[in-house]
Amino acid sequence: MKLDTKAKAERSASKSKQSNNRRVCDISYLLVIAVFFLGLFVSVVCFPRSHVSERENRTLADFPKFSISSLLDGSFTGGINVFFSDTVPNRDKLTTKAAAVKDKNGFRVGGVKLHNAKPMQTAKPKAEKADEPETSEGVTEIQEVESNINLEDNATLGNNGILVAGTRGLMLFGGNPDVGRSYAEVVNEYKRVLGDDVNVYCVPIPTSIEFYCPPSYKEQTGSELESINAILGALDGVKGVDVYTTLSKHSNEDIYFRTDHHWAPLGAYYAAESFAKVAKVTFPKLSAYEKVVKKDFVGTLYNFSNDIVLQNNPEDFVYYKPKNVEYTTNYYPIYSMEIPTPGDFFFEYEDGSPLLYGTFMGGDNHITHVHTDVNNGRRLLIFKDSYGNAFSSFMIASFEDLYVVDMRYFQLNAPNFIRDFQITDVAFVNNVFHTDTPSTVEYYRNFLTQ
Amino acid sequence: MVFYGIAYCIDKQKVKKSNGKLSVCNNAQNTVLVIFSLIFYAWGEPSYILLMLASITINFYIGKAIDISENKKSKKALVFGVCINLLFIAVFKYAGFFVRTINAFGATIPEPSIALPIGISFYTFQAISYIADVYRGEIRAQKKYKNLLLYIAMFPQLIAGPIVRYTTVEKEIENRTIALSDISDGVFRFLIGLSKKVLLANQFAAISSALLDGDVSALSVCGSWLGLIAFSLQIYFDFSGYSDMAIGMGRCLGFHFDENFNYPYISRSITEFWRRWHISLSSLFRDYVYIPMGGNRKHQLLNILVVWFLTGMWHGSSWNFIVWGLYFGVIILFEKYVLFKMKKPLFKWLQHLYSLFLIVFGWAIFYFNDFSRLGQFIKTLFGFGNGGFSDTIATNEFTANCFLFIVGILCCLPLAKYAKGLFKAAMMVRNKVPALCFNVIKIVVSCLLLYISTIMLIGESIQSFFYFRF
Repeated sequence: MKLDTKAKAERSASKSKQSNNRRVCDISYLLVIAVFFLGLFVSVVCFPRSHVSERENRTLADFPKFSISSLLDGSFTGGINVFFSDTVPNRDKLTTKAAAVKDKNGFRVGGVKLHNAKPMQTAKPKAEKADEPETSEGVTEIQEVESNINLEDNATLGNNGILVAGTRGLMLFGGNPDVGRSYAEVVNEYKRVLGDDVNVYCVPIPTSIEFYCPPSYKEQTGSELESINAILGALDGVKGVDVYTTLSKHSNEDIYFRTDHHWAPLGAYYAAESFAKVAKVTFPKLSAYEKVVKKDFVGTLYNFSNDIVLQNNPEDFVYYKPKNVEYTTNYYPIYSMEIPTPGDFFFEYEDGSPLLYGTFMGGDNHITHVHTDVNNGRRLLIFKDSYGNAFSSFMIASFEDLYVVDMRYFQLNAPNFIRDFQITDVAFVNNVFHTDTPSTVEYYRNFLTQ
Repeated sequence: MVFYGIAYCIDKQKVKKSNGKLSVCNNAQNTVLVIFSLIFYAWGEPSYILLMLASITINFYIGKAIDISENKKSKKALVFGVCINLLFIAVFKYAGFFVRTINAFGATIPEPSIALPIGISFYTFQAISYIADVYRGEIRAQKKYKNLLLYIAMFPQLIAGPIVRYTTVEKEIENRTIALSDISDGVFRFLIGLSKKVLLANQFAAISSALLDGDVSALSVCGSWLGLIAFSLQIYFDFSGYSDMAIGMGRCLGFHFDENFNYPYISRSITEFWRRWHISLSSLFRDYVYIPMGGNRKHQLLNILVVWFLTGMWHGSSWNFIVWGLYFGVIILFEKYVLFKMKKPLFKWLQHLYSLFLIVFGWAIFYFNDFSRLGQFIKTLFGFGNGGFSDTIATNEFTANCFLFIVGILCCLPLAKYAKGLFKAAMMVRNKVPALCFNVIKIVVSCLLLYISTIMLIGESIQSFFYFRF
């Protein structure tokens, strides 16, 4: 009896001890988690919210406007969700941390990593309507911070994914030479419409993948050279400019950005030099320009790929301002040449700004007119994508008047424009992602009649 | 939780004494839970909240009618109730599917554009199980509308399960207490579920989408299998993650839901797999379809095929889901009549391999709604595609995510079960040190998971749970 009682007492004491152990553990656990959660909650919900993501180059979501219909269709509550998730305080820093965590999922063979890569397509792309927004799978469509900047640009075109080799990001080319031939055809059409009085040039530009793709990944990207040759070979009466050969001779220099999908101004300089030879205009040496260096540039490829290696390896953004030429710059809205807005050709951005490529004319969404003291009677109209922005900066010293028009925004009739402003030279300056995209052909075709 | 805490305090003032035992009244807590459950549902699906309320109201009165009426009348009421519930689901989930099927035979009926109400499959089946249980006399009909509303619309499990039986929570709806250990375990379980979703399922979703959403005929054999394995892991962590979160939240609120997953990928047969995968659904079909149809007593073959036809159909309004269900039905029949009757069973490793192959292959049928794409994909899986055996994309996806795959596969094994056992054992010993050590590990793991999950959630487009669509 006594033993039983003693055993029971021991069991009871043991149980009480266990339950005490458990209680202590539970309380301490819940206290720590509550404090930790509260800390996270305060930092994510209570701190001032982000309004712009520089990294993603877009304004973040606004708090939704309330209406009975938006409440009933769920867009109001959905909008609140988006607002809170989109405008988290220090969003850019946190998304960078998330990219660093994701990078730990595996390793890189030979320092190479593919992002959103797709098997090479052999089928011909269907023609697109020009007014449809350009999108592609795997690439997030982004809004613009400033209405005159379009940096999403060719990341949404013919893009077969992104390859990061070492510290260099490269967009895999998915274009089709057949579309390139259509592009050449529409440029030929301009020559036919404009006649002998106007020189028409075609400047198809290769992108960095053509020169820096690791050999074992060549099968992941189409041949830009093949596309460019298809374009140049299909020109009729139009002067083709072979910038491919020129750039390939300088591929050991910084002619393309490592972290951005654009070429570097130095690459544009060499291409412009080739163009000037074909156009037979004077072209100053690089020493005739003022070299400007902006530090810590991390461009669009980081956002497109979310690859932390690009973020951790910023580069210099180097551009060149003409020194020995006087010029004035005016900007016009895309639909009218009546109201000029004077401005600088070169916009100022701070070191480290991801928007640095907007240095040239502040972006794309306007018509730019530069009047210079070159006085050679030559007036150049450039139809371009964003590669043409850096290119245009090197035309200032070679033409009396320079008109720069972005093909994605222009709303005027091209032949009338050329006649009204007595244009002597028209250049189509597009990178090969755009030349091989059906919507580009449609844009140019529409300019002839719109 | 603040409102729930206040309600808890209010309820505590009203501790009843019945039959000599203390009985806790949960009236205020239930009110708070119902209000927040309705807000939760309305937040995601404002217009369809009326549909859910209508469904619950009808089932409340049908339950009452069955409860008070005689046998014949109660059967009629049950049939009426089941038909009404099926009508709801037929209109709001399957109308487009029926029209598409009829149109495939040459008709030109315009396809209705009815958006799928979130969670309709879950709450409708809960309602059917409720009125069926009342009919069987296993439970009495709920007298308070609010309590039935709480049972069906309770937010942790409302939109993606588990499908909770009324008998599981009947007592806790009216009389529950919340222990400190419940909250502690519930929070931990919730964090595990959140991490499964954010750190595993979402990452695997990116891989499966990269490999399976493009031109599948251009994939290599390795690429197609890698994509399919990624999807197999994605769907497991997605769905079991949600179930963990629901069970964890339920624990914090004082409810003890049944488990919905039990390490399904360690199964050695498909029969076992379905005892471990989405347990609440398979047991529901077993108890409310298979057994009433005769179970293994009469026309078992037909019963099995009907159950698996319905299981497939429950998952989505597309023929591939039905094929997926029947695929498992046929395999289960094979196991029943051939595999399990073999005198010499297969090696254990071979049983695992056999099961995993069939499960993973089954996910291909589940993934592709389009049969032509499914056909192309199956060709690719077995080396008849255009992409060869391996390619750069597959190699890149594997090397760039190999640690994720290792972690994912480890998390499919019952390692956590062993850890839980050790934790319990540590609590049992007199020495405090092991318990404290385990607690420190639990705290560190929880904080780390919460922190990383929060970071990963920020900036990502919101990825809804895979099973929300069902």
